[in-house]
Amino acid sequence: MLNCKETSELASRSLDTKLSLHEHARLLIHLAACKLCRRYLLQLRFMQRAIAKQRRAVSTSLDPQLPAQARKRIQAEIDKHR
Amino acid sequence: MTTQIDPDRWLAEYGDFLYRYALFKLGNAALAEDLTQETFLAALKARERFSGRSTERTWLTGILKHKIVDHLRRSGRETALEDGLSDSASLDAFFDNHGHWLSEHQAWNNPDQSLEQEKFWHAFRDCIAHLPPKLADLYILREINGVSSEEACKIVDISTTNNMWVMLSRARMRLRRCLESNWFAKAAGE
Repeated sequence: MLNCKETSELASRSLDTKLSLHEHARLLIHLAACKLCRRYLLQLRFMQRAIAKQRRAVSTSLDPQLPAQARKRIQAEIDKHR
Repeated sequence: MTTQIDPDRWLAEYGDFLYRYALFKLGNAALAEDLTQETFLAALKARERFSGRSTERTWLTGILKHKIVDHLRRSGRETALEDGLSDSASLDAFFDNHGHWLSEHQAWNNPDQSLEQEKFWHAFRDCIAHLPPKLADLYILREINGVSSEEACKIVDISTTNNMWVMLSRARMRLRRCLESNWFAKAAGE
């Protein structure tokens, strides 16, 4: 059976790629018996969901888009240096 | 294959992408704007040298990456040559010799509520900016900018997909712990 360290790595990888059937089964077996690893996977999923949500945000002050003013300024600089 | 370079499209196509990368890496919006601008200007100067072996975006991101390293060095922040795969970045601090968790992490209370709070994002961004540098690069590119494994490995200089998974796992482990102590534990104590 996987230990918690191995499980944490597999849990992380499950966010990046599709696990093989064998890996998936090993992950599930460990999770069924381990509260901390279940919690860990839930929290990793939460972080991924949170980040994806911020990526789509368009109206908060934390909007990760280049502000319009900066955009204008940078375009002017690009034009000047071409 | 001909090499296409088209500065007219740069800002529209890569402006947000580069800005976001710099913003999360540095945690400072004004600085992120400046370095995005510097990147485009440096790219204009160097456009003869664009080989077309990578995409325009990969090339521009590489330039920005160097700008960020230069900036951090000038401002005296460590830019250790830590590669994300060294022992210091490993999971050993989190597990005992048998691979059991060293400490019991708590369940997060109503985490989705946090998404509405601006302070939560500051905490999140802060935690990302404090990851070991290469882990931060990779995490930002994959999770925030959503680039493919292939492109992320190219930009961050990771040799195999397997190494990338190992590094992402290390980044998430650290980020989870940081978020817990900088946000969820505090929220629970209030």
